Amino acid sequence: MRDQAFHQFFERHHASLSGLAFLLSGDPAAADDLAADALTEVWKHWDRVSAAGDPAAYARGIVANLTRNWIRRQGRARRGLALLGLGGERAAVPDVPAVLDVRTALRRLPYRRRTCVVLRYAFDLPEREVADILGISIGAVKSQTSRGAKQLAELLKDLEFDPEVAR
Amino acid sequence: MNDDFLRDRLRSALDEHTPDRTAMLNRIAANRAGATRPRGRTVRLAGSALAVLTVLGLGGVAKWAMAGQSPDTPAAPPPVPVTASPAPSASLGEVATATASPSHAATSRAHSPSPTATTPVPPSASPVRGHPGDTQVAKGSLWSDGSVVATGRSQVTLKPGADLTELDLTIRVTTTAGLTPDGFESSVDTVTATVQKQPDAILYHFVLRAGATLTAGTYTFTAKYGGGARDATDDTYEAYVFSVDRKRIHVYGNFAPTG
Repeated sequence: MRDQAFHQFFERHHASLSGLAFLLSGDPAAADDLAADALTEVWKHWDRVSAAGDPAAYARGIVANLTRNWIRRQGRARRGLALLGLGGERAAVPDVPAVLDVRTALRRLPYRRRTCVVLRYAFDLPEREVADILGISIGAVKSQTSRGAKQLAELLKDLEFDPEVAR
Repeated sequence: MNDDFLRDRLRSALDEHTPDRTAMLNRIAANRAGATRPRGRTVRLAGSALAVLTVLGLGGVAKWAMAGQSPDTPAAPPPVPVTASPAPSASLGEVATATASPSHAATSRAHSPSPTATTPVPPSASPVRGHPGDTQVAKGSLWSDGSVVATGRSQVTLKPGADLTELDLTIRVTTTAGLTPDGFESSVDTVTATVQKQPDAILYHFVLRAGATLTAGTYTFTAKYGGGARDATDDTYEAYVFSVDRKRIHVYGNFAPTG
């Protein structure tokens, strides 16, 4: 039965989907919402999705899309407030390495690179699966991942070599 | 080695995050409830507008709007305070939706439950249901009944045919001369009950605790009150449940002998 199958799917994957949204968005509270919204989509299209093969890959793809949209909306909201002369708190945080952690470093990566790096390194998914999730070619996954990994490693190492500002 | 370094860092970042399973289930339930109703962008837009107002510190406007509404809608009871869980993210508009829902409900019935709300919409946000001629005592796998079992004891019986993961029951005892609340009783020990006195009624509110499940069976919820002989004709009950057969069920009825 559909609801039962979906429920099992929820139990198995909700934590990792929320984790994915967390790494991509950098926002723990929004992560649960984004993952839940993606799971709602999975539920809506369950019959088709489960028939087509891997519901988990489908769900990850939706999380990636919803998170990208969410980030865009965040940007718009912040620009809107800035126009009103009300700089959000985010603008008030000094953009120095001291506040750089993995999350903020990830946020500096272009979105496509970020998703590739996260799916490959945090979730250990094979390149082929990442390509399916994002709807891009394996070649693109390879190049995006290697550029992203390089950039992220540099950002993080900058932080490590400067322990004074690290914490 | 770069690879191991990144893997290690990303995994420990991932470990920092603890997903809130209940919040996710609630949001999915709310999404699903919203999906079955006509919902337009207007709800979202109204939500965003209110979010902006809240951000700008004009929360008082909302209060003023709500206060302004109440004289126009004597049938609707004032909203029961929602035990608001910390809103997941103001930027997604939940805070605003939560604050806004009472005034939404006052202006348009179709807005509840709000599609983006993370907590179940409280029953009192809608007009009072359950008066004779306006009842729905059984729906899906849930059966219900209300009866005055003794002087000063109005009892609602719920018979879920499948396990319930959410329950939100309100018994509304209409104010009559000398009416005083005298507590409540329930055969379920995993519900939290509150009694709220309002000008026109006493509301007994039973909520299943988060994470608790009510297995299929028969349960009673009793509102107790004093005040001598009184007429229960105008008393009503209304319950929202979420059943594990993944359905949101809404029942409402009254305590009249014939239902």
